[in-house]
Amino acid sequence: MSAPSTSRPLSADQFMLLEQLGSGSFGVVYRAINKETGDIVAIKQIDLESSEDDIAEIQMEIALLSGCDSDHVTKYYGCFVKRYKLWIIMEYLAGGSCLDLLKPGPFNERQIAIICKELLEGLTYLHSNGKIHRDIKAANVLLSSDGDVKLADFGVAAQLSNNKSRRNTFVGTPFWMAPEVIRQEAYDFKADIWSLGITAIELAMGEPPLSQYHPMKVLFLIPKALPPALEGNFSKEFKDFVAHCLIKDHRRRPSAKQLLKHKFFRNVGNPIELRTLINRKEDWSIRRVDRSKPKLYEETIATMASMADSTVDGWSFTVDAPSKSVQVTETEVADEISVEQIVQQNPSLYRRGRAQTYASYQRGATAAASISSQLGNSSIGSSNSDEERRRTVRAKSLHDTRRSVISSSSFLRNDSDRQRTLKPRPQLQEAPNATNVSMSELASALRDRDQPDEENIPPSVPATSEEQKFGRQIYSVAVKGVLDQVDGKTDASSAELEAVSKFTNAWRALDATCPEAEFWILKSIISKIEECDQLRSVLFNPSVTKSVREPISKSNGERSIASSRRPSTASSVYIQNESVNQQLPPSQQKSPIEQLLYARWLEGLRSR
Amino acid sequence: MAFLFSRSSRQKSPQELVRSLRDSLKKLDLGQDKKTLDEVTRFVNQIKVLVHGDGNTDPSPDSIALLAQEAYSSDLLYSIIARQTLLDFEQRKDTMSIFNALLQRQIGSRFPTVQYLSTREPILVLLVKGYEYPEVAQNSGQILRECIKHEQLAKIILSGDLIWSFFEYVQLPAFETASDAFSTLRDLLTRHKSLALDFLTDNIDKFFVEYNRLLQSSNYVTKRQSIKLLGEILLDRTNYVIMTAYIDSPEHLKLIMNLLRDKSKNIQYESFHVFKVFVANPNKSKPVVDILLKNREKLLVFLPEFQSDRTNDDQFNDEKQFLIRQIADLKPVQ
Repeated sequence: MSAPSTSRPLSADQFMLLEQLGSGSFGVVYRAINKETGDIVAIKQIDLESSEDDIAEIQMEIALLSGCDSDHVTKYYGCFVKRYKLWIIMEYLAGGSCLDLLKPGPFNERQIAIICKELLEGLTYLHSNGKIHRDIKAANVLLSSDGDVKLADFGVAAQLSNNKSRRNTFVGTPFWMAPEVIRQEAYDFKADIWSLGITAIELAMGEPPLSQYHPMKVLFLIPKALPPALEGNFSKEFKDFVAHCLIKDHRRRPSAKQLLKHKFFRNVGNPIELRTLINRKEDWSIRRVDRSKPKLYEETIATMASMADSTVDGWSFTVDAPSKSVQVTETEVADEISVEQIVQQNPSLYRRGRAQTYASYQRGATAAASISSQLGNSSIGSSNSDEERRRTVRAKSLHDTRRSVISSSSFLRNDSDRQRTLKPRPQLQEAPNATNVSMSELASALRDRDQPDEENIPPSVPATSEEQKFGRQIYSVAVKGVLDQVDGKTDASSAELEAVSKFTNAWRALDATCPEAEFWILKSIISKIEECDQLRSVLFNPSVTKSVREPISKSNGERSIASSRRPSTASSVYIQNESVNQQLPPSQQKSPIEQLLYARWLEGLRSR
Repeated sequence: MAFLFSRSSRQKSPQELVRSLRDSLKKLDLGQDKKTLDEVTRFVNQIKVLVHGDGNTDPSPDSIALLAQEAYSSDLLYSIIARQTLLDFEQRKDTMSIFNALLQRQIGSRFPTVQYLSTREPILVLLVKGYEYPEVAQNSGQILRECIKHEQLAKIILSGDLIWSFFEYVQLPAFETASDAFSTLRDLLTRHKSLALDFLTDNIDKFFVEYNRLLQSSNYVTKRQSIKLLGEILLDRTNYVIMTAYIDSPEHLKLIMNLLRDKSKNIQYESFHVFKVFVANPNKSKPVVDILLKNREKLLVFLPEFQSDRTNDDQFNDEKQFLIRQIADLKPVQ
């Protein structure tokens, strides 16, 4: 069996399926034996009938896989369809995934260095072939029995038409996703480098950073917060390597080729050493007395809709009237009117057709955009074409978010499965209910973060007493604007952002329910401060204030106030400094997800 | 000849590179010895740097112009496509990437390579024939789809006999080849709307004979993809002439009604979107009405139960109710 193309089509009879290796949204993976050659292979079975993926997408994945021939990428041997299942025949890697190997505990630095170096070799190959993996994580890194490190699972990988093109689809697994991918800016190969940095931390700590948070919340934290850093008892080189992978600005982030020269790899070991990880995992499994027996393959009888058969026993077509020949002639102009009648009577019948055309148009537009951007770069290179590109990218990003949110719904239904990869969905028509699930989840993630939204903040009580009125006044005059301003801050660690958001929400709730307490609290705080000479001089003397830094602004002297998430409310209270506003990348002014939420909400209203 | 290819101190000009590559490709016809293959790799790599840059420096437009001009006059693109099966894995990818780079070359609104290809039909023929060779099918399919983004090239395929071979390719047993061919067929029939309409109008009988074979294919993937595409074609407003002709035919109705009862839920669902057009048509032909009347009782039992688990799909359920009402109220045509 020679990779990657096969001279003769493979067939199911050739293989004997052994135990199940894993299962997921994509289908089930079995270990199998090729009866003709005796080779052990892995077979991924995708149930096309129940798969959420469009067949065209699965075809993309296979095209990507079959376009790779590298020792650092799982080998592809071929595929075929049997009944409703697509069988993808791949190289079997006995060592399992790094995620499995992590179960007994984190890896040591030497082992991580070997893995990272091998992964960088693999990424160098992929990137030089115009491919972005887009889902690098321990679960997608497989080891052979000899410790060879291989990239697997090209479910969301992308092929760029040349080395100048960019992507902006929202895919990946939240914890490992690069900020530019989440923001849906034009991104390229560097997105894989970020994910590699996160994976390195995952291997060292057992979990990726921010794993304590809900994956949807992570989508808001990663673009906003300072990049995670490797902390703990590790070498300077390792920490520096991770820091380079996790440079937030992808233009400054080094390429795979450059990172291979990093000093972290100066005395890097041989992959064969990784066998200790495989042995360790085996020992661990034995000691845990894993009682779960391996799942053997069972031929499933597809339970397809047999409803039709049970209720009606076949159509009767016996009336065969002389069949009219199918021909379009000018005398049939009258039919045009009838079509219009169909449309008028049932506009909904056409809706579907149009939606699909729109989708294919979108695809065409992207391809055109990638070509035009490439040409803009190489021959014209004017700022004009750059702007053009940005616009196309922005216009498309919302469309893509919508798809990805739908797909993320299934991932949200099962909260335990946090490793799930987000994929763009081919069509909107599927499972409208799923959209609602994900929307409410997304909305709650947003709300927890910083939205003072009606459901979360209790309804305002009317202010009747003097104290209540003063409390409200304090809030609207002094507090509200400050909270909005603090909420919009970036450049803080995720933990800091979380703490601030909890605080601001609590205050908003306090104002809504108990303005008199707000008044008394502030009054007592101020009087306490006035009693303390030092604090008084610091807080009420403007010249001193300058030297005291705002707690979470770690950037240089300028006040980095991100535009408020709710410009309308903020601007009434707090007038933003124009120059500050201009320095922000446009993506921070309104996140695509927020735009999407708003669009969805409007849509919901309209349909009611 | 060996001295010609030995490492000379002088860098070859773009024109020389193109000619050298073409010559070593031609030598492959005599035998795929390692030396010739190495030559191909060497020239290919040098040309790749010319067209893509080496990562640090951008390619120079002048060299690309020289390279493209020589590629047209020396018929390099034909040599590349004609010898795909003789090349190794990486060489196939790399030569195709050179082809692709030239294809995307643009001067103002002009695509010189597209213009060139429109006068060199044999290259397109070879690209289509690529589907007959599993090892090159995906590479040539990808290039072919890039080509037919340009209407003038799509027209060459749609106006000749080439288009009909796709009805064979999409049924090939190898999944990747068949579904790649299907993507190309879909693009040909949907991308350039007026071109596709002209093709469908001119060939309507033959087209549906061929297409109905796909709808009855024993291959699940072929069947599912073709019923879905049929719905897209018919429900596209550009194609209303085609749709009215299509829904007049009792033969088409029978086929679609059988697909409504297919074992696959996806196929059932997609055929529903074609079936609904037959029923919604206010001017149904007599044979169509006859079939619907003959099956009225069965349909009125069948439809309420049809995919009844799609409770969240409001549009689908509305349409289903509409069809049930239409069928219940159906009057015989005199």
